[in-house]
Amino acid sequence: MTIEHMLQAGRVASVSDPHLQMLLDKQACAEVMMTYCRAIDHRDEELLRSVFHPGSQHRHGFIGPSSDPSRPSKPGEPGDFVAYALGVLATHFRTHHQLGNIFIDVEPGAVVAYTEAYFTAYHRMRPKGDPQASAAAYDTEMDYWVGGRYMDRMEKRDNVWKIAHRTGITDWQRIESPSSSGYNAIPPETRMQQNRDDFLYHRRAFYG
Amino acid sequence: MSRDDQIQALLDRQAITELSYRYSRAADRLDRELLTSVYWPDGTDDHGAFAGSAPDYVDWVINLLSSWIAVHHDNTNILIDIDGDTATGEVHWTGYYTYEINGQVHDHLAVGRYIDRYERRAGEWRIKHRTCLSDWSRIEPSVDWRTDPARRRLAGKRKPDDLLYSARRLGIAAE
Repeated sequence: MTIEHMLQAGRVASVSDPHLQMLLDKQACAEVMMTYCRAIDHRDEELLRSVFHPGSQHRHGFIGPSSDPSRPSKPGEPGDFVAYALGVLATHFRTHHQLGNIFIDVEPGAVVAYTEAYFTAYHRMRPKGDPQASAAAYDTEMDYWVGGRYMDRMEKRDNVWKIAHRTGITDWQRIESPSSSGYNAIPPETRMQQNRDDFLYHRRAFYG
Repeated sequence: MSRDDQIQALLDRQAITELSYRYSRAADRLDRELLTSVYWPDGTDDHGAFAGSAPDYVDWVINLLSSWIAVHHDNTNILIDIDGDTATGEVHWTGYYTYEINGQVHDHLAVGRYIDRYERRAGEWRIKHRTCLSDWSRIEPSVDWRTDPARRRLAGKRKPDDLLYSARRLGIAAE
């Protein structure tokens, strides 16, 4: 598994059995959603852009194109969702986005799927005084948890499923001070990295 | 097992998995009709605080959840054993609840497992019996984030107000 493989999420075979096709389509769509989480947590811009079809629209914190690198960003005015998300993610030390219930409504042979995926996201926010902190940062580091749902229109174009429209809904959230020990007691080699230094990107070389 | 049987086993597993997803969606959106549809009419449920017929369970839980501010159920680690037209399953659940205790809003986080019996009748899988086990939980005073207008705009709601039921979700109507 290399970055080249990760960038292939959503690719699906064409088969004659409509029920098998539906299973393959659901699996491909689910893997695109998980790739989104993976890209977000490692702030992997190339991978994040890869889960959206050209023209995809977004409504989650940011309203506008999901990924349009040609649209310039100005301070406080991101050009697209990817630029917006990377800016928000930089104000955290680490994040973890997890999917649970994944509904993918797709009719046999269809090239459009309507989905609902439950997410739980854990964030450790940078404190005031940290040069990368958000303008709304607290005096101390904070844990921010949020649960919600992604509702997407996914489309299969040239045998590749990707997101064509995503709306993020918030169901609950909680912000509180982190515990005094906890994460920092974990050995550094098994902590996550918000970039391609993470073990994920090196596992192929490590496992041989 | 022939290739067709192997594909059928995958389809069965997908259908049974989606029963748990639909159960959560129904509870979270207070969708009585959807919740009823995941059980056989002669099904049963044991949630500890309630044990009885599936229709009575639906009444009980919809009534309980109606007064809560936020409800979000997630399912992971889904292990299913299929044996012909019957199956058993163990499903890990996580519940996030916000509700009032003595006039103060609290967050309740709980995890546990459903131990299920499923039956296939005329090609359709539904729950015959669900036992809900609780493994861990904590309750703390909550932060009232719903006063934050940026968050409230795209906040989860119940049927029929949630985006799930809206034509906007399908891109048919403008926001």
